Amino acid sequence: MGAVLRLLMVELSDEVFMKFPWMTLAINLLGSGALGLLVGVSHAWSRLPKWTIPVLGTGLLGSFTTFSTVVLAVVLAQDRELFTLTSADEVIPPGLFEMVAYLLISVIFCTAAAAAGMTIGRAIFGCTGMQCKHGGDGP
Amino acid sequence: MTLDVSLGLVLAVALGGAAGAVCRYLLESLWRAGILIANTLGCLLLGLMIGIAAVATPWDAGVSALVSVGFIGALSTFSAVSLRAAQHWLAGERTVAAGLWLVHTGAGLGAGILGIAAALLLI
Repeated sequence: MGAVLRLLMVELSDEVFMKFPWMTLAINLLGSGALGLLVGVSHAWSRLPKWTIPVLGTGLLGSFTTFSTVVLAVVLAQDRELFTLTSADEVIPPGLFEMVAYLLISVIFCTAAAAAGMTIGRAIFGCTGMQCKHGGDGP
Repeated sequence: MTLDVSLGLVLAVALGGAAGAVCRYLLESLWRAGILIANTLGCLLLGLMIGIAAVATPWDAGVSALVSVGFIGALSTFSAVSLRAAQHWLAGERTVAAGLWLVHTGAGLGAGILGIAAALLLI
Protein backbone atom coordinates (compact mmCIF):
# COMPACT_ATOMS: atom_id res chain seq x y z
CA MET A 1 0.00 0.00 0.00
CA GLY A 2 1.49 3.25 -1.21
CA ALA A 3 -0.15 5.55 1.35
CA VAL A 4 0.91 3.35 4.30
CA LEU A 5 4.49 3.24 3.04
CA ARG A 6 4.46 7.04 2.80
CA LEU A 7 3.04 7.34 6.35
CA LEU A 8 5.77 5.09 7.74
CA MET A 9 8.58 6.93 5.94
CA VAL A 10 7.29 10.37 6.99
CA GLU A 11 6.82 9.26 10.62
CA LEU A 12 10.19 7.49 10.74
CA SER A 13 12.04 10.56 9.45
CA ASP A 14 10.40 12.93 11.99
CA GLU A 15 9.42 15.30 9.20
CA VAL A 16 7.61 17.64 11.64
CA PHE A 17 11.03 18.79 12.88
CA MET A 18 12.26 19.71 9.40
CA LYS A 19 12.07 23.17 7.84
CA PHE A 20 11.25 21.62 4.45
CA PRO A 21 9.35 18.34 3.89
CA TRP A 22 12.46 16.47 2.72
CA MET A 23 11.04 13.00 3.15
CA THR A 24 8.10 13.92 0.90
CA LEU A 25 10.62 15.04 -1.73
CA ALA A 26 12.52 11.75 -1.36
CA ILE A 27 9.25 9.80 -1.71
CA ASN A 28 8.28 11.75 -4.85
CA LEU A 29 11.74 11.28 -6.39
CA LEU A 30 11.72 7.55 -5.64
CA GLY A 31 8.14 7.10 -6.86
CA SER A 32 8.65 9.11 -10.06
CA GLY A 33 11.84 7.21 -10.89
CA ALA A 34 10.18 3.85 -10.22
CA LEU A 35 7.13 4.73 -12.36
CA GLY A 36 9.45 5.80 -15.20
CA LEU A 37 11.33 2.51 -14.89
CA LEU A 38 8.10 0.50 -14.94
CA VAL A 39 6.76 2.30 -18.02
CA GLY A 40 10.17 2.04 -19.75
CA VAL A 41 10.18 -1.72 -19.17
CA SER A 42 6.60 -1.97 -20.48
CA HIS A 43 7.67 -0.20 -23.69
CA ALA A 44 10.53 -2.54 -24.43
CA TRP A 45 9.41 -5.84 -22.94
CA SER A 46 6.13 -7.10 -24.38
CA ARG A 47 5.87 -10.02 -21.94
CA LEU A 48 5.25 -7.73 -18.96
CA PRO A 49 1.76 -8.61 -17.65
CA LYS A 50 -0.96 -6.08 -18.55
CA TRP A 51 -2.01 -5.49 -14.93
CA THR A 52 1.36 -4.15 -13.78
CA ILE A 53 0.86 -0.53 -14.99
CA PRO A 54 -2.58 0.05 -13.39
CA VAL A 55 -1.79 -1.91 -10.20
CA LEU A 56 1.84 -0.98 -9.51
CA GLY A 57 1.90 2.32 -11.42
CA THR A 58 -1.46 3.99 -10.78
CA GLY A 59 -2.22 2.15 -7.54
CA LEU A 60 1.00 1.69 -5.57
CA LEU A 61 3.30 4.42 -6.91
CA GLY A 62 0.44 6.87 -7.55
CA SER A 63 -0.61 6.68 -3.89
CA PHE A 64 2.96 6.58 -2.61
CA THR A 65 3.82 9.93 -4.21
CA THR A 66 1.71 12.96 -3.32
CA PHE A 67 1.08 16.42 -4.71
CA SER A 68 -1.15 18.06 -2.10
CA THR A 69 1.49 17.92 0.70
CA VAL A 70 4.05 19.68 -1.49
CA VAL A 71 1.67 22.44 -2.61
CA LEU A 72 0.16 23.03 0.82
CA ALA A 73 3.65 23.18 2.38
CA VAL A 74 4.34 26.19 0.14
CA VAL A 75 1.12 27.89 1.28
CA LEU A 76 1.50 27.03 4.99
CA ALA A 77 5.04 28.42 5.20
CA GLN A 78 3.62 31.90 4.51
CA ASP A 79 1.75 31.97 7.83
CA ARG A 80 3.41 31.30 11.22
CA GLU A 81 0.20 30.11 12.87
CA LEU A 82 -0.79 27.72 10.07
CA PHE A 83 2.78 26.42 9.82
CA THR A 84 2.72 25.19 13.44
CA LEU A 85 -0.24 22.93 12.57
CA THR A 86 1.96 20.61 10.56
CA SER A 87 5.41 21.35 12.02
CA ALA A 88 6.98 21.35 15.49
CA ASP A 89 6.82 24.69 17.34
CA GLU A 90 10.56 25.34 17.26
CA VAL A 91 10.88 25.09 13.47
CA ILE A 92 11.16 28.45 11.70
CA PRO A 93 8.98 28.58 8.55
CA PRO A 94 10.89 29.11 5.30
CA GLY A 95 10.31 32.25 3.23
CA LEU A 96 8.34 32.43 -0.02
CA PHE A 97 11.49 32.45 -2.14
CA GLU A 98 12.84 29.34 -0.37
CA MET A 99 9.53 27.51 -0.79
CA VAL A 100 9.37 28.35 -4.51
CA ALA A 101 12.90 26.93 -4.79
CA TYR A 102 11.72 23.77 -3.00
CA LEU A 103 8.79 23.48 -5.44
CA LEU A 104 11.09 23.95 -8.45
CA ILE A 105 13.52 21.32 -7.12
CA SER A 106 10.61 18.89 -6.66
CA VAL A 107 9.26 19.47 -10.17
CA ILE A 108 12.56 19.43 -12.08
CA PHE A 109 14.23 16.53 -10.29
CA CYS A 110 11.13 14.33 -10.23
CA THR A 111 10.67 14.83 -13.98
CA ALA A 112 14.35 14.01 -14.47
CA ALA A 113 13.96 10.91 -12.28
CA ALA A 114 11.00 9.74 -14.39
CA ALA A 115 12.92 10.38 -17.63
CA ALA A 116 15.97 8.54 -16.29
CA GLY A 117 13.85 5.64 -15.05
CA MET A 118 12.10 5.33 -18.40
CA THR A 119 15.38 5.40 -20.33
CA ILE A 120 16.96 2.81 -18.01
CA GLY A 121 13.86 0.59 -18.17
CA ARG A 122 14.01 0.52 -21.97
CA ALA A 123 17.78 0.08 -22.05
CA ILE A 124 17.62 -3.01 -19.79
CA PHE A 125 15.64 -4.71 -22.55
CA GLY A 126 17.92 -3.54 -25.33
CA CYS A 127 16.03 -0.49 -26.51
CA THR A 128 18.11 2.68 -26.52
CA GLY A 129 16.30 4.85 -29.08
CA MET A 130 12.87 6.50 -28.89
CA GLN A 131 11.21 3.75 -30.98
CA CYS A 132 11.23 0.25 -29.49
CA LYS A 133 11.12 -2.99 -31.47
CA HIS A 134 8.25 -4.46 -29.48
CA GLY A 135 6.44 -1.16 -29.43
CA GLY A 136 4.43 -1.92 -26.30
CA ASP A 137 1.34 0.23 -25.83
CA GLY A 138 2.58 2.44 -23.01
CA PRO A 139 0.55 5.51 -21.97
CA MET B 1 14.29 8.56 15.29
CA THR B 2 10.91 7.73 16.76
CA LEU B 3 8.20 5.68 15.20
CA ASP B 4 4.90 6.51 16.85
CA VAL B 5 2.51 4.57 14.65
CA SER B 6 -0.26 2.33 15.95
CA LEU B 7 -1.96 -0.46 14.06
CA GLY B 8 -5.17 1.56 14.05
CA LEU B 9 -3.40 4.48 12.38
CA VAL B 10 -1.94 2.18 9.70
CA LEU B 11 -5.37 0.68 9.03
CA ALA B 12 -6.95 4.15 8.84
CA VAL B 13 -4.35 5.35 6.33
CA ALA B 14 -4.67 2.12 4.31
CA LEU B 15 -8.45 2.57 4.13
CA GLY B 16 -8.24 6.23 3.13
CA GLY B 17 -5.39 5.54 0.71
CA ALA B 18 -7.31 2.78 -1.08
CA ALA B 19 -10.36 5.05 -1.48
CA GLY B 20 -8.18 7.91 -2.76
CA ALA B 21 -6.39 5.70 -5.28
CA VAL B 22 -9.68 4.28 -6.61
CA CYS B 23 -11.13 7.80 -7.00
CA ARG B 24 -8.01 8.91 -8.89
CA TYR B 25 -8.16 5.83 -11.12
CA LEU B 26 -11.80 6.57 -11.98
CA LEU B 27 -11.08 10.25 -12.72
CA GLU B 28 -8.10 9.21 -14.84
CA SER B 29 -10.11 6.72 -16.92
CA LEU B 30 -13.07 9.08 -17.36
CA TRP B 31 -11.27 12.25 -18.43
CA ARG B 32 -7.99 13.12 -20.06
CA ALA B 33 -7.42 15.81 -17.45
CA GLY B 34 -8.31 13.36 -14.64
CA ILE B 35 -4.95 13.69 -12.88
CA LEU B 36 -5.24 17.50 -12.92
CA ILE B 37 -8.73 17.24 -11.41
CA ALA B 38 -7.48 14.77 -8.75
CA ASN B 39 -4.50 16.96 -7.81
CA THR B 40 -6.51 20.20 -7.70
CA LEU B 41 -9.27 18.52 -5.69
CA GLY B 42 -6.63 17.09 -3.30
CA CYS B 43 -5.13 20.54 -2.71
CA LEU B 44 -8.58 22.08 -2.15
CA LEU B 45 -9.55 19.38 0.36
CA LEU B 46 -6.22 19.53 2.22
CA GLY B 47 -6.54 23.33 2.36
CA LEU B 48 -10.04 22.96 3.82
CA MET B 49 -8.84 20.42 6.40
CA ILE B 50 -5.94 22.63 7.48
CA GLY B 51 -8.19 25.69 7.61
CA ILE B 52 -10.69 23.86 9.80
CA ALA B 53 -7.92 22.47 12.03
CA ALA B 54 -6.59 26.03 12.53
CA VAL B 55 -9.78 27.17 14.27
CA ALA B 56 -11.32 23.98 15.64
CA THR B 57 -10.48 20.30 16.09
CA PRO B 58 -13.72 18.49 15.33
CA TRP B 59 -12.02 15.12 14.66
CA ASP B 60 -9.41 12.92 16.35
CA ALA B 61 -5.96 11.98 15.07
CA GLY B 62 -7.16 8.75 13.42
CA VAL B 63 -9.82 10.44 11.31
CA SER B 64 -7.39 13.22 10.40
CA ALA B 65 -4.78 10.68 9.22
CA LEU B 66 -7.41 8.67 7.31
CA VAL B 67 -8.52 11.73 5.35
CA SER B 68 -5.30 13.75 4.99
CA VAL B 69 -2.44 11.22 4.78
CA GLY B 70 -4.64 8.46 3.35
CA PHE B 71 -7.41 9.75 1.09
CA ILE B 72 -6.06 13.16 0.03
CA GLY B 73 -2.44 11.92 -0.12
CA ALA B 74 -3.36 9.06 -2.44
CA LEU B 75 -5.89 11.07 -4.47
CA SER B 76 -3.20 13.56 -5.44
CA THR B 77 -0.11 12.20 -7.16
CA PHE B 78 3.30 13.42 -8.21
CA SER B 79 4.67 10.47 -10.17
CA ALA B 80 2.00 10.47 -12.91
CA VAL B 81 2.67 14.15 -13.65
CA SER B 82 6.45 13.58 -13.58
CA LEU B 83 6.06 10.72 -16.03
CA ARG B 84 3.89 12.64 -18.47
CA ALA B 85 6.19 15.68 -18.29
CA ALA B 86 9.22 13.42 -18.86
CA GLN B 87 7.54 11.82 -21.89
CA HIS B 88 6.83 15.24 -23.42
CA TRP B 89 10.37 16.40 -22.63
CA LEU B 90 11.98 13.33 -24.19
CA ALA B 91 9.78 13.74 -27.28
CA GLY B 92 11.18 17.26 -27.70
CA GLU B 93 7.99 19.02 -26.57
CA ARG B 94 9.67 21.01 -23.82
CA THR B 95 7.14 23.83 -23.58
CA VAL B 96 4.36 21.25 -23.17
CA ALA B 97 6.30 19.62 -20.29
CA ALA B 98 6.89 22.98 -18.57
CA GLY B 99 3.30 24.06 -19.22
CA LEU B 100 1.97 20.83 -17.69
CA TRP B 101 3.78 21.53 -14.44
CA LEU B 102 2.78 25.20 -14.52
CA VAL B 103 -0.91 24.27 -14.82
CA HIS B 104 -0.67 21.64 -12.06
CA THR B 105 1.19 23.84 -9.56
CA GLY B 106 -0.85 26.93 -10.42
CA ALA B 107 -4.18 25.14 -10.00
CA GLY B 108 -2.91 23.37 -6.86
CA LEU B 109 -1.69 26.57 -5.18
CA GLY B 110 -4.92 28.38 -6.05
CA ALA B 111 -7.06 25.52 -4.76
CA GLY B 112 -5.00 25.22 -1.55
CA ILE B 113 -5.32 28.94 -0.76
CA LEU B 114 -9.03 28.84 -1.63
CA GLY B 115 -9.55 25.84 0.68
CA ILE B 116 -7.88 27.52 3.66
CA ALA B 117 -9.66 30.83 3.03
CA ALA B 118 -13.05 29.12 2.66
CA ALA B 119 -12.60 27.19 5.92
CA LEU B 120 -11.50 30.30 7.83
CA LEU B 121 -14.38 32.37 6.43
CA LEU B 122 -17.09 29.78 7.07
CA ILE B 123 -16.11 28.88 10.64
